[in-house]
Amino acid sequence: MRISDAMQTNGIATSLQSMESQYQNASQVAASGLKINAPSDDPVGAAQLARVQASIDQTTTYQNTITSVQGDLTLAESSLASASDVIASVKELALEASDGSMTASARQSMATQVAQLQSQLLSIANTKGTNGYIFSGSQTNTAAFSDTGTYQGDNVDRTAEVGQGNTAVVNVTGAKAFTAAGGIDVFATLSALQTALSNNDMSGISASVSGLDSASSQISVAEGDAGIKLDRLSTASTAHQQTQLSLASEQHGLASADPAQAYSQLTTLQNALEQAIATSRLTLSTLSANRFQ
Amino acid sequence: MGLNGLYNLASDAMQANSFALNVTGQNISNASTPGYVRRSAILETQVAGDVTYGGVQATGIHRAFDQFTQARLYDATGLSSSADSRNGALASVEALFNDTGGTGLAAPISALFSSFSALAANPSDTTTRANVLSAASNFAQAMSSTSASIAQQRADMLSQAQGVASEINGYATQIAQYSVQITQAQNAGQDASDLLDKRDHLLTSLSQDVDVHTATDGQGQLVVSVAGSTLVEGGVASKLSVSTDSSGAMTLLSQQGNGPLTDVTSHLTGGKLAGLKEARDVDAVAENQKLDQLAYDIGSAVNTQHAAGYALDGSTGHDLFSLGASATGAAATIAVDPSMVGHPELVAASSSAATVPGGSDNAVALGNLATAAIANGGTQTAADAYANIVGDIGLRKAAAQQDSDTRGALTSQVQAMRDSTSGVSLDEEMVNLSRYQSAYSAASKLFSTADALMTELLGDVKP
Repeated sequence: MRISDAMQTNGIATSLQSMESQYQNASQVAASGLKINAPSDDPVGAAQLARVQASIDQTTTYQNTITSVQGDLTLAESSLASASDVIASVKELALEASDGSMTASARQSMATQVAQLQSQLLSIANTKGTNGYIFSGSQTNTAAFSDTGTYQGDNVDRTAEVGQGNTAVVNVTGAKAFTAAGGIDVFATLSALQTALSNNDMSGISASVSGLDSASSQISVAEGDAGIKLDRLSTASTAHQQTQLSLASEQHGLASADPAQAYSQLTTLQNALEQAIATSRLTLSTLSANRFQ
Repeated sequence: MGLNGLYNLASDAMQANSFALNVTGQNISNASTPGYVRRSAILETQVAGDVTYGGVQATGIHRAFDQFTQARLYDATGLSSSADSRNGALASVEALFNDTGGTGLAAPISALFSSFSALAANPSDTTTRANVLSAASNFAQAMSSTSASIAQQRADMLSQAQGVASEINGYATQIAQYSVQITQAQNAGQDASDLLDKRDHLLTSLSQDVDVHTATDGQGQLVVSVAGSTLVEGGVASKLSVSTDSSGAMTLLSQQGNGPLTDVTSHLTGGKLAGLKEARDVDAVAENQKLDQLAYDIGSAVNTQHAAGYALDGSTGHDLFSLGASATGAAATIAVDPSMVGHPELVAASSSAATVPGGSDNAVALGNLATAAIANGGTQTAADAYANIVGDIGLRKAAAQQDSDTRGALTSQVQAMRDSTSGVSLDEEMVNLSRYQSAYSAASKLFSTADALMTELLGDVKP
């Protein structure tokens, strides 16, 4: 083949350009630490990366939801525990008042104590969490009980999405914990005891003791229910942490360049480029040598 | 043959070799001129009647030009530059969907669904509700600005193509002018190598813009056809223009003189015009359609679920997004419904009026849309559909890059073939220079010998 000067110089320019473009790509990978700097670098990988990112975002959303509802549910659980304590104190008073040797005036003063405990219970039942009144069902802007102990909320379970296809109930309604809907009306029981103490009504007092037992177990059941719901949330949360770890590792595998490989690739290309430049210089100096002496 | 003949022989030889030296000089001068075709002097023995005379004469200049290789060069250049311009045009479309580079729609889509989940956790909170509206607005904004960017890029590609068309018309006029000059020079018996070089170089430039085919007509005139229509015939150039049809697609129109416009778009196969046409009317349109579909699918799924829920005031049936009746143009026009703007209380978190404000069932259902198959006819989740767009534009751009590399390499090969035939080799010219120089010296020696003989002869006859 006949070789012209233009062929040689064009050839050198083309091959240097192609090597420089490879070097440029490799240095971008090494500098950014990413294999995929644009979708066209690896279309299938880029699409997969977008899906993985969406899953990571979704899992983060579930985690945020869990964190956000856990607070109020924990508050509900501890409030119910306090409510149990109040009921236990009331029951102690009731048992004490059942003692036949007690005077009417002593019972009268006990009635006052019961009234105080009842108002304490009312304030517990009207606990407000970050998401409103926690025992009002869906009526989170309305206090669960009126001052007279009438339930103002509803018996609606509030839900949140804590995992894919995993919709959890995130409240315990005051209806179940404190009203006849759960078995016995706690506030009415306390009012009855108060009336019986005021009226020195021995049979009324002993009747309310068994009512208090029922109230205590009803509140304990509600407390247990809150605990179970919290367990479910933390189970879901643990699962999400695992998922996030594996998603993050998949994302890393898809997107990140192996630093050692990226660096050695860059070094290889750099050496190749340097040698090509040296060789080209030699060829060009032959071409440019004065051949017309 | 006498002594006088020897004089003539030496004179012819000196003339012919100095002509050849001149041609060698032209080659050396133009060794790096683009489009220059190597020349050589045609030296022939001189015939004088039917007797052997033995003289030499330079009869002309030979251009080392191969029509076949040149045609392949036009083809290869056209295809390569088509791939280059498509690749370049797609780079800016790809950049709109580069989530690793911080652009892209994955984040606003995730944020929209995530805002619904946050609402489910705390449905009565005004800030959480306002956050739903702002996430919805960001999502709609991202969709419409991406769609607007694609539209802008398509408009840029069109004006780029219009620039290319006027460049083509400029080349056509010049080629026609050179054709006229070449015919004149050849008719006058002059050498037209310089003019031919210039015309061929213009044709090579033209082949970067559009696919070029050349032929010779019955009168021996050059006919240049591009995109299946005649652009130049002899000294007459026609005009190309770029416009759009009723559907907004780019069209290439050819006009002969003041004649009617002919649509030749379907014959366009090479050059920047073909690359721009493909990037604009195939690739960008496909991505825009997918984007429209995604915006429509997400928008209508969210609207349906949102309308089923109840607002804080107990009202129902509110659409979250304002959306057209079909997917066409949905990405460009999607927005938060005007009746919802500034009204976080109208966000429908509850599934019945009775469970307002704490009921979260509808918010849960809205959040669940993130993992439901709501896109592309209920076959994919929104995230999958978006991932498909990313994969699709990536594949298109990668294919364009691949084409650009392969076709570029092919063009280099053809260019090397052309340079092998037509390029100047300075080594060769150096040899030629010595050869013609020696021949010239020898001829002048011949002359001085003849002269010496003549002097001797004249000395003898002196009285």
